[in-house]
Amino acid sequence: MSHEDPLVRPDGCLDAALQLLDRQLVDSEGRLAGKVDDVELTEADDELRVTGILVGVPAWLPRTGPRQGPWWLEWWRRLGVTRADRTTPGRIGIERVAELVQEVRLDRERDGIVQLAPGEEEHTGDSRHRLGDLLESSVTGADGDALGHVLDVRMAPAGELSSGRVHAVGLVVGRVGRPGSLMGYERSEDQGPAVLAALVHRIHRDTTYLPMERVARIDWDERVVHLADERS
Amino acid sequence: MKKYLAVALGILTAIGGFVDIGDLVTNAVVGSRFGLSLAWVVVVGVIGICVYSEMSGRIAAVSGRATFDLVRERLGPRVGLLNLLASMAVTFLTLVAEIGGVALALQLLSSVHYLLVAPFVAVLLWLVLWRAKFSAMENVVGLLGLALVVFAVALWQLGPDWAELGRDAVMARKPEGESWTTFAFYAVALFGAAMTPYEVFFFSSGGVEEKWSPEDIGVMRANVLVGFPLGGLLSLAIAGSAAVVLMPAGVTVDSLGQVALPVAVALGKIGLSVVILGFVAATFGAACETGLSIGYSVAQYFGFQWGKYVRAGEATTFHVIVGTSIIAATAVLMTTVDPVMVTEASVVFSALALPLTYLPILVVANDRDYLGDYVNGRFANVMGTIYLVIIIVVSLAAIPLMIITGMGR
Repeated sequence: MSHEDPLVRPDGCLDAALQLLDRQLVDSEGRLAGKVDDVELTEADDELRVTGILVGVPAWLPRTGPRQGPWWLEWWRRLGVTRADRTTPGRIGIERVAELVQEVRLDRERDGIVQLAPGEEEHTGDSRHRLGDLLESSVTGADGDALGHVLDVRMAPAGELSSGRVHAVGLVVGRVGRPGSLMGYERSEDQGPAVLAALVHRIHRDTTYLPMERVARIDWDERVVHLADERS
Repeated sequence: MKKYLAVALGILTAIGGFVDIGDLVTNAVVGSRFGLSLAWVVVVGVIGICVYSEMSGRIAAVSGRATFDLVRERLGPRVGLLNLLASMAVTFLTLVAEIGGVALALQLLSSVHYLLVAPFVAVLLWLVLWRAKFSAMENVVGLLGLALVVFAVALWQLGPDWAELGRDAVMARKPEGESWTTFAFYAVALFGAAMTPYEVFFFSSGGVEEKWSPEDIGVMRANVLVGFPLGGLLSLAIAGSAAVVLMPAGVTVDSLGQVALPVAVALGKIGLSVVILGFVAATFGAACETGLSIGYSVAQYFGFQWGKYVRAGEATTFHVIVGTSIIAATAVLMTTVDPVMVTEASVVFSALALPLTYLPILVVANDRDYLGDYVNGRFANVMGTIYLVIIIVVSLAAIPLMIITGMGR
C-alpha cells in the first residue's frame, strides 16, 4: 500500500465501525454505562449525520447477523409481546457525548441517561437510520454491477462528535470480509505484526474507498447503496 | 522501599496464583506417565503466558481496556458473541473443577466426603467475591498458595538422579510404553494448563481493578516475567516428584490424593499438611479468579459496570452473574461428575479456545490509537507471531488428539 492509498485514513476523519461502534460508554463519574450497540444516522441537507447512540438489546441483536439478527429479535419480541417498545432501542443523543477516545465519555451521570428512541410508527418517511443497516448494505454501480458491500463508513470532522455535524464522507467497500475486518490495518503500513498486516492486506486487496459524492441513493429497505455514473 | 515491597508481593502472588487445579492434576498425571519428557511444553507454555499477559497488561495499563472490551471492539458483536460463549463455557468448566478441587483438598484434610463440603465452599466463595477487597483476596490466596513450594522441597529431599531427570527433560525421552499420540495429547493438555484463557481475562481485568497507569508497566512486567516462570518451576517440581515416586511404582494419578503422595513419601505428615494447605489456597484462589472472570467477560461484552473497585450496589448485574455462575458450577459438581475428569477436559478446551482471545489482544497491542508509544516492539511482535502460530496449531490439534487417544487413556 502506498501513502496515496485512499484507504489510509486522513487526519480529522473517523472510521465509524472501527472507532465508534461497540465502544464502551462511560459516564461523567467514570462508571460504565453500556456499549455503543448501534449509531443513529439522520439524513439532512444531503448529509448523513451522526445524531445519536443506540443501546440495548433491540439495537444489539440485529447486528448479530443479517439473517440471525431479525430472527433473534423476533424471539426477543415474543418474550414480551405486550410491550409496544419491545423492539425499540434506547437512545442517547449525540449532544450527551463529551469526548470520544478509546471509550465514549458522556457528559453526565449514567442514571436515566438512556431514553426510548422514536418508534417506527411515529415516523413514516423517517429520515433516521442505523449505521448497522448501512454496514450490511451491498454496493451497486450505475450499470448494475455488484461492487461488494460496505465495510466501514468514514466520517468527519472527527473531533466534534457532540456538535451533531459529524457526517459520512465516504464508504470503505470490499468484496470479502465483514464490517471491521480490516481491524485497523488499513490506516498505516507499519502496524505490526508484519505477518498479520500482510494477511489482512492480502484478504482485502480489492477493498476500496468511495467518497460519498459517488453515492447516488441509499435504499435502506433493500439495503443497497446505488452509485452514480462515474463520469457525472 | 514501599515500591520494592509491592514488586516482591506481586511476584510472590504471581507464583502462588500461577498453579491451579489444572496445573496440579495435569503435571502430576504427566509426571507419573511420561517423567520429565514433556517438561519442554511447560517451558513453551510459560513463555507463552508471559507474552500474552504482558501484552494484555500493557493494554490495560495504558488504555484501561480489558480483554473482552477488545474482543468486541475488534471482532464485532457477532464473532465476539461466539467468542464470549466459547470462552465462558471453558471458564465455567474450570470453575467447576476449582470448586471441586477445594472440596477434594478439604476431604483429604477432614475425611468428610467432598460433595458434602462443596456447598460450603461455594457459599464461602460467593461471600469472598461479594464482600472481600480485591487486593486482600489476591494477596492472601496468592501467598498461601506459595505453600506448594513444598513440592520443590520434596523433590530435593527425594534425592533423584538429577542428571537422568535432566536428560529426560532436555532430550524429551518418551517412555517406551506410551504412544506418540498420547504424548502429543498430553503436550496439548499441559500447554492448555499453563496458558489458561481465564488467567489473562483475570490479569487484564485485575489491572483495571487496581487502576494501573503507564507508570505501573514496570511492576507489571516484573510480576509477569519473574513470577510466572517461577510458577512454571513449581509446575515442573510437581511433575518431577511424580516422576520420581509415582512412575516407578506404576501409580496412575486419578485423584488429588495421588498428586500429594510424593510429598507425603518425602516429607511425611508435616509435608502432607503443608501441601494440603497449598491445594486449598491454590484452588480457592483460582476459583475466585474464574468466578470473577465469567462476570468480567459478560460485563465487558455488554458494557455494564463490572469490578470490585466499585461498591457491589453499583455493579449489580455483574455480581448477579458471578453468584449465578457459582450456584450453577456447584450444581454441576453435585451431579457427582468426577472433578479430576472435569479438570482434564477443561485444560484441553482451554487450549482449543485460546486463539479466540489471543488474536484481538495481539492486534490491539500494535494499535497506536490505543497504546500510543507503548505499542509492541520488534521483539514482542516476533514472540507474538510465533505464539500466534503455536496457539493455532495446538488449538486445531486438540479435538482430533482428544478423540484419537480417548482423553489420553
